[in-house]
Formats: sequence, C-alpha cells, structure tokens
Amino acid sequence: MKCPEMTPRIAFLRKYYKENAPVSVFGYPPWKVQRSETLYVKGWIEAKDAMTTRLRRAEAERYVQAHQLPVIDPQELLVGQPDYHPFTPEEEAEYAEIEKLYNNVIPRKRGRADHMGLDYEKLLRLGVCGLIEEINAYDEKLDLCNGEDLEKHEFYEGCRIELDGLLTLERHYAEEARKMAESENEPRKAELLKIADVLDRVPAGPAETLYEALQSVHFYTFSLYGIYSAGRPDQYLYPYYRHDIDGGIITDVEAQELIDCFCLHYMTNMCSWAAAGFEVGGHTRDGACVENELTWMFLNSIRHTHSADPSVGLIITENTSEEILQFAGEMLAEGYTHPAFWNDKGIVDSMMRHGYKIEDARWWTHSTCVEITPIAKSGVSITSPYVNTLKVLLAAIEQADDSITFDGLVEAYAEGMRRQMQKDIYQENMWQLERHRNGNDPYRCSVLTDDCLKRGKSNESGGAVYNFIEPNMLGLMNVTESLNVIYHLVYKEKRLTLSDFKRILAENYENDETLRQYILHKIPHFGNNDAFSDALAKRVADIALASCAPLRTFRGAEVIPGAFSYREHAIQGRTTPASPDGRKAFTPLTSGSDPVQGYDTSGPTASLLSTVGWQPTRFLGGTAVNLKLSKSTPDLPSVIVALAKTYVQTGGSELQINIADADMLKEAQKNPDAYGDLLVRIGGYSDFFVRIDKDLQDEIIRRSLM
Amino acid sequence: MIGTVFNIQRFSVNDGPGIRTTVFLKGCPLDCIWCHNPESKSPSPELSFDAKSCVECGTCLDNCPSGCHRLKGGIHTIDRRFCRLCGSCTRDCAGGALEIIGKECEAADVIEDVFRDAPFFKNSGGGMTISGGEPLFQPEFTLELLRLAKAKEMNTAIETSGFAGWKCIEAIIPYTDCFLFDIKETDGCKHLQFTGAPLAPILENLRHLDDSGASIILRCPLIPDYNVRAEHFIGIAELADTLKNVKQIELEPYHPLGASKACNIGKMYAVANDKFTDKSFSEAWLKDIRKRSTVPVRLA
Repeated sequence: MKCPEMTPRIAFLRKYYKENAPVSVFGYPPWKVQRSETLYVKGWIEAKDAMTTRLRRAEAERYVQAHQLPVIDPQELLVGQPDYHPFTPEEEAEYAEIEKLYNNVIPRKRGRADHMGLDYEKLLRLGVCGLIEEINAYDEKLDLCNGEDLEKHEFYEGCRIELDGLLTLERHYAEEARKMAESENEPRKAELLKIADVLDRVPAGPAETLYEALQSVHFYTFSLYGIYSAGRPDQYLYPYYRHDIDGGIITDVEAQELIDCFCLHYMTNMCSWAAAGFEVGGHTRDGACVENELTWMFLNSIRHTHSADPSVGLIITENTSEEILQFAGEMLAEGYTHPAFWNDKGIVDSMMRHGYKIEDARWWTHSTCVEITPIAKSGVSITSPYVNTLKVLLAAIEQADDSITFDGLVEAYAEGMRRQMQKDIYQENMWQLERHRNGNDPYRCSVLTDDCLKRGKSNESGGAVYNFIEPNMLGLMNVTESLNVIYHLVYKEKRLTLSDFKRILAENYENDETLRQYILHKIPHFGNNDAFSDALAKRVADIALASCAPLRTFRGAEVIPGAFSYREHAIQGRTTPASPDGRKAFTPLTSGSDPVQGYDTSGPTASLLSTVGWQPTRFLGGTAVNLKLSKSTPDLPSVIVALAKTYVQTGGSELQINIADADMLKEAQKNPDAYGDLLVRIGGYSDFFVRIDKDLQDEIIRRSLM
Repeated sequence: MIGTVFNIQRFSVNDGPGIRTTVFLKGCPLDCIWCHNPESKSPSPELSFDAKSCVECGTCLDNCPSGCHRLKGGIHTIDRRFCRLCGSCTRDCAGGALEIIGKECEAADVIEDVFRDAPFFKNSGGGMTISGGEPLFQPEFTLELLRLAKAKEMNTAIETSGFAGWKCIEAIIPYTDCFLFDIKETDGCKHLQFTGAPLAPILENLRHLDDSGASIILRCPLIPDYNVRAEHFIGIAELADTLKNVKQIELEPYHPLGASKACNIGKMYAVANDKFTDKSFSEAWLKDIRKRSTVPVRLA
C-alpha cells in the first residue's frame, strides 16, 4: 500500500510536544509527581465520609477527573493531556505537604499496576454510558443483604463513581474547546468546534467514525495516568475506518493524520522509559489473518512521529506479506527503532501450554517493553519482580568448595534460584493481598477487563480471567557465560581451582588481568552457536523456568518468567560484583536477552541461533533480542527481513534492530543538543539517546563498537 | 577429502547474493601487489601475530620450544627463522594475538558447519561461497565442497581469479550457481606486473565459462596508482558487454586492511597507500563505468 505523507500539522505537533511535554521530572515519570497526585489527595480528604475505604478511593479518582484542567494544544485534533504546566511556587509548597500524605497516610501502592491492554472494542461499542448501563444491570440483580453481593455492589458503585468523573472531564474538555473557539479564527475555530462536537459524543457514547473512535480510546486511557498498551488498533478501529472511507467521510490522508495525532500523544501522555505501544498484524480472535490499511498506516506513523514511543510491533505469521515486511525493513534500515518483530505462532502456542484459550492467546499484546499479556482479560503482573540471577550464581559459587563437581555447582545454582523465587513470589503475593484490600488502581481499568464486571470484582481482587505473575530474570546470559568459563578454566583445562577463582573475583581481577584477557579471547563464548555453551544456556533457561513452575500466586495462577532487561541491566549491574564471565564489578549485566556484550563474534546468524537454542518463546514474561547491523550492509532492508523471518521460523520470540553508528553515538554524547532526534534501542524499548543516563549511554556505545 | 581452510565466515553479505557463509581456502597461484588477504597466499599454515592485541603476558615466551618470542621494553618480536609452527605460543595467548592461520579440514565437516545457517540462506537467496586465496588451487577439495553443498540443496558461489586449468573450472560448473570472477587488470603487461600471472589464460577461461552459460559477476578491485585509469575502465566495460552471461560488475575500491595482515604474518606489503578510498572517488569510478557498460554496475 502506498501510505500517505506526513502533514504539516503533524510536523508542528511533534516539534511542539518535544519542546513542551516534560521528559522526566525529579527523575520519575511525570504523572507521578504532577497535579494528579495533588488532586487525588485532595479528593481523598474531601471524601472522608465515603461509606467504605474502597469507595473513598473511587471518590478520589472522581475528584482527579473532575478537577484537572483541560489541556488543548495548538493544532491538536485529538485532545487529552495531563496538565504539565510548571508548578507555581505556591503549588510547589502545597505539593511538599501533599507528598508526605501521599507516601505516609494513603495506602502505599504495592506490586505492578496497569501494563495491560484494555477492552477498547467494548468501549467503542458501548460508550461509557453503555458501560454504566451494563454495570447497573449486574447491580440490580444483587441482594444487598447478602455479604458477597454487597461486596460486588461496592465494586459496581465504585465503577460508577469513577465513570461519572470521566464524563465530567469529557464535558470540561468540550467546554474548553468551545471557549477557545470563541477567540480563534478559521480554520482553527472549526477544528475546535469539531473537537467539542466529538467530545459531546465520546467517550460517553458509542463511536461512529474513526475520529470518534481514536478520541474515545485516547481519552479513556490518558486519564488513567498509567501505562497501557493500545492492543490491536488495526483490528478494533478497522470498522470505523471502513465506515468513513466507504461513506466518503474521510480520506486516507486524514485517516493517517488522525492516527499520527493518536501516536504523538505517547509523547505527552507517557514519559521516556514507559515503552508503551501496540502491535499490528497477527490474527483476529477467530483466527483470521490481519493485514489491512490500518496495519500499514500505524506502521507508517513510525516515520511521522519519529520518536521513542509508541513502541510498535509487527507480528509475523505464516501469511505476513513480503511487502509489509520490506516496508518495516526499510524503516529500520533508515535508523528508526521501530517496529520490533514478533513470532505469533511461538507466542500463541506457548500461551496455550499455560492454559490460555486460543481466542484469548491470539489477542496477546506486549504490555510495555515485551511482556506478553492477554488484551481485555489481563490481571497479569509483569516484571514482578526483577530477579538478579547473576547474584544467585555468585552466592552459590561463594558457598561451594573445591570438591564440588560442575554439575554440583549447576545444581547449587538451581537450588539458589528455587529459594530466591520462593522468597520473591512470597513478596509479590503479599503485595497482591495488599492490592486486593487497599490497592488504589482506578476501577476504570477493571471496567474494561473481563471478567471483572461479570464477577463483580476488581482486577486487584481477581476479577480478571488471567492472573499470571511474570517475574523477570536479569542476567541469565551472564550466568550461562560464567558457568561456561568456570567449566573451561576449572574443570576442563584445570587452570585454576574454584577457590582461586573466588579470590580473583573478590579482587575484581585486579591482579589477574591476564586471566581476564584469556577469558575474553580464548574461551568459546555463548552466542557463537558453540554446542557446549548453547546447551548450557538451555540448561540455565530451564532452571529459571523450573524455579517458577511449582509456585502459585495469591489468585491461584502460575508464575511464568521473562528474560529481558529494560534498563535494569545497568541499574542492577551497579551493585553486582565481578563475575566469572570476565565482567568487572559494578558494570552492567547483559542487556535484553542477548549474549554477553561483545561475546557473540560470529555474526548475527550464529547469535540468533544460539538464542533460539534456549527456546525464548517459553518466557512469556518477555524477551528482547537486539541485533546491531551496520548501515553499510548491502540490501539492508532485505537482510533485516531475512533475519527476522528466519528468527521467527527457527523459534525466536521478539527481535529488535538497531542500525549502529558508534561514531554518531560518541558525537551525541559530546554534543547532545545536535542529536536530540537520535533514537536507540535498549533492552526492550527505545529512547532518545541524549536523554539516557551516562552509564547506560556508555554501555550502548561499547555494545555498538563490538 | 581434506583441504586447507583459513576462515569460515558467517553472515557474509559481500560475497554473493543474500546472507552467505564464506569458506576461505588457503593458497593462491597469484601474487597481487594489493592483496587484502595476504595470509591466504601461501598454501601452508602460518603464524600470525597481531601486535595490537598483545597484552604482554609473556606466556608465549615460556611456551615456545624454539625461543622465537622476545618481549623487551614492551615490544614483542618474533624471530620467524626458528618458528616450527608448532602452535604452542597460540594456545595460552591471553590477548588472542597469536594464531596459526590455516587448518586442515574434512570437506564434510566444513559443509556441516556451513549448513547451520541454511534457514537464513533460504530466506535471503543466500548460500555458501568459496573464496580464499584461490579456491581452484585446491580443485578437488573445492569440487567436493560444492558437490556436498548441492546435495544439501544450498545455493553456491565461488570467488576466483580464473587462473586455473580449464578442466578444474569445467568440473565445478554443474555445482556452482554464481561465479564471482576477478578482473584485476585488462592490460596484459600490467597484469603480469601487478599479479605475477598472465592475463590471456584468465580471459580464455572467462570466455569458456561464458559459453557454458554459467552465471558470472565480474569483480574489479580498483587500486589508485595501479589500475585506476580510463583504459582499464573501458576494458572492463568491453569485456562485460562482449560476454553473454555477465549479470553484474562489482567494483571493489581499495582498502588498506591488507597491510596490517601482511605485517602480522611477517611479510612486506607493497602498496604504500594507507587510506580507505574516499567515497567521492568510488562514486566517480562507479559513474564512469556505468556510462560505458550496459551491464549493471555496483560498489561491493
């Protein structure tokens, strides 16, 4: 398909958002410290007479919705942004007090919230008022003198309170648009009146046009102040697009522009590091293949938004066309960091092995970076928690003596992992207990998650159909490589004993640089398709999965880990001592799901085959495989497509491409102002290079030099 | 069937179409002044020492039975007169600076190694390329590799100078999908001067190859101060246009990486130029040859 060009409005909005939407404030994602927190606390205080604590929090949510200032920026077509205007000194002072209350008086947030895809299809079909009607229908059947029913009623009441707040916000935005229109000239005047018109209808009512559909989805989501996947927009938006095109209401240029507006809001609504996004392609719930005009246009928006977010995935099935793959390959070859490629069959099969029904498995989403959750049915808790598996190995090594065999050492590590996961999942389960009792996630999230309304329970109380916990294993390839090195040096070559090695590690290789160089250069490393280390990686991966398999969550679900890193490889690395893989103390762990940085020296085909060997699709908690390719590779788009297809066919899960240019990265470090647009791919997500912490920047540069 | 191989390079994207694995055979009958793989000229194994990678651990001094290695004032030297190529120094070399280049391999093992990337070949129109050195300097080994590759349905290519007995080339035609044929110089005198081999038999082989219907890509190294001149460009174009089966002309602008490799194996390098060819020059040469030939031309 020939995709429409970017309009001047989009160029303007991109620049405007980039210059005005805050990247991060006080080092945290903006919405955590902005006015929503202040409003929440005020609402909480005001609702002191709410009948129950849970209803008090629903009232606080309503307060936030009802009192936040509508923000409508120049040339916007889709509206809905947190109020990011800088705090006045009075607001700063007020916030200082509020923060104390928020952290000490209101129940603390525990465990992982949001990070899921909501039922936008239902929202668009029913509208908020239709959802309220459905809630009322359930509520009417309850016996308010029955304990269980009363709890359900409380939940329904909380939903109604919050949705009422949302409708108020919608009205306020429409009023603001009309007010602004009064002092504007054409064509902006008409645009603002149109915005108001659309907001008169959605999200309160069902959507009819693509404009309404996009506005409805965006409005519902932005006001949740969380990270939500947009799921499969080329599916749930398609009927509205078709309706408009067939009825001559919209052109493809206008449709593309609206889609670009929607995607640009990831800059205003999310911060760097949020990694929120969506995926296109794949299958419908019924198993039909998806590749339509919206699939192309959402991919095309990557060129227009040219940003770290949204995180766009292209799902590869056996029917994915060469054209769309080539389209994606061309974008990546030009330096865009999206889309990532996803193996539909591998992921769906893996989900079904854990009890997902096939129609639910087909509608998986990468909830932020790369974690797999089911759209519209997710009570799945992702990256819960990050587990530093290298520290577990180091502890096992510390406790072992020289009489231990290699297999004995591996078993000691496995035992360490079992104990670690028991401890970690215990904490997650306690947090889930706390979330059930005192969690303050918006009920609006549960409203669009099955089967919360049917069961009369919020997501935190087990209302969702699927409730897995997905911890995330950091450093599995450091563990693999460390065991590999120990095997070669201690057991095969008998160069040194385990005690010798422990001393060397304790000294951070300071007196044994020669040995460290030997490790770097002479040991056959994992990532080169070497039979021994490939088998070892599978063994290490199996141990990770086995450590989770016997555990169950507070809600009775399984524990299924991921194996990627986000930014944690750099963060956790800072407290991790030297490791047998040649890694010096307090330096980053492996990034993403890749071999140790620089150890895969046989090219991408060998590296990918090594990764496929440990069967990454089993790690539904997410994997992120990052390939660097040189810009000078001939036929680069075709090479990218060939690598992606082969990776998927041989059993890979997720693949992301970075076109490396170490010189440019070094320049950007020295001269960040000139490189504001430079995007890089990190361990599962993208970011603007110049915004990243220096040690992560250094790690990326080191990686690209290898 | 045993042959001497010095490298098997996966993800080769400059040695024929698609994603390929290139098997580099050791030994070459030519002696091109600008050779960028000088370690491939001799058919025998050689000791390579990359001074940049030396971490001065001194282990090789201890391990060498002939006392070839000296480490004085931070400078590591090797007296190759006494080197027996035993490889003792390479075994414990912490920096990976010392290496024996060239190893005897069983053809079936090489193919098994190459075949691991078959899924990538299938999706990219790639396969195996045999290069070197000069593959036809080990004609039976090359034929066996190609035969075994074809038995596994892999696409095959060969990079050759064309300086071999015609019978060797004829034997591999049924097993070779693409010939990457070097044209180093179109002037006979200069060809002898720069490569140590006569041009005529190479051109005769090329014409026979063309008559057989084999698919040919002409590979033309362009070395400033040696063969970069209008007459040679005209020669390349005429050759491509008069033959029937030349699918493409690939230009290989000079790069200086051969010099350090020569140094690593203790040999001299004749070309003084230590710079990569500037992009503006390569593009100018590309434009020039494109004007002269009807065959597609690209930069390798």
